Amino acid sequence: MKTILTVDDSPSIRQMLAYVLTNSGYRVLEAADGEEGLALAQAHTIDLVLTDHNMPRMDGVTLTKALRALPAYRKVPIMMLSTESSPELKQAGREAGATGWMVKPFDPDKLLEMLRKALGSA
Amino acid sequence: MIASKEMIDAAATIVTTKSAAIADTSVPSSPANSVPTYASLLTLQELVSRLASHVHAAHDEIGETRAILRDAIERLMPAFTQPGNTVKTPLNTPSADAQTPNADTAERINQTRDAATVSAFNALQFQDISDQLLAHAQCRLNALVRELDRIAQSVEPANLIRRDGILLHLLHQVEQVNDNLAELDISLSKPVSKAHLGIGEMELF
Repeated sequence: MKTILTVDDSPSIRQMLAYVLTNSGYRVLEAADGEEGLALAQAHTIDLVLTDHNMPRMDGVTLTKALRALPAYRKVPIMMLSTESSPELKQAGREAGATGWMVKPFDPDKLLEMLRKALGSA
Repeated sequence: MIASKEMIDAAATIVTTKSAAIADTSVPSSPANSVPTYASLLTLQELVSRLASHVHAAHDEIGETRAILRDAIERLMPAFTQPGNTVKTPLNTPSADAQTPNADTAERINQTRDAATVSAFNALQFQDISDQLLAHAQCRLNALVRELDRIAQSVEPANLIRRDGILLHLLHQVEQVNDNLAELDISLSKPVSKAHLGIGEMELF
């Protein structure tokens, strides 16, 4: 069973993601911000990280950079799921090592399709 | 409008000739087009403080709105995500009685429920999106309160009459406030890119 780490400061978004991902056969770990996400990623084996950008303490792009600096996360897909979609921010995400960018609101089916693609290419 | 060097120099000239009279103003007198009097500074200070108070109240009201939306969603979410809201079929309920729907009916009900859940998830994300916009508005209001407080302190008559360059000081403060507000525009990114709740785009890099 693949494990997905969701990082989002919104409890309702984390709850929705957990529901959608668990019902599709994934194991889900949840973090409320980048720092918590980084700690969980270091403590567990994660197959894919799905992170928001705007969060307290550590944002998604910073988390991506921090994860890519860890040998275990050089190739793990990191998907950004954010309300923002400015080209500058997307570029920052890409340069940090993100695998893809998804803009909220997300459609559960399309999200799953994107995650399968990302996991397949890992 | 940012006070130019010429404006500041002109103000300094006026202040040089008039500041002694102002510093000595125990009874306010304010001929038109002259430097601010004690009374007009008091009025300005009161006005700015009142504006700051309204902006601060708007900031708090937005905070309350965010809390209400957060609470509403937290109460609503379990209706969609709690386990056990799936209709069971006779196959997985060995003791099924006559009220238990047959497998086809149960599957149809579950499919309808799943579709409704997907639609609900799309709609319920409004809370996260609107919360980010409201938080952004609160950041702006916080900055406005800060700058209004700065102006209110600048026009505090007790402080000003101890200075030689009243207008010069005021113009410097206005310039500083302008700069701070310009920096605020640069430092605050647009938190939400969409104006509606249509599904956002997705891309793999």
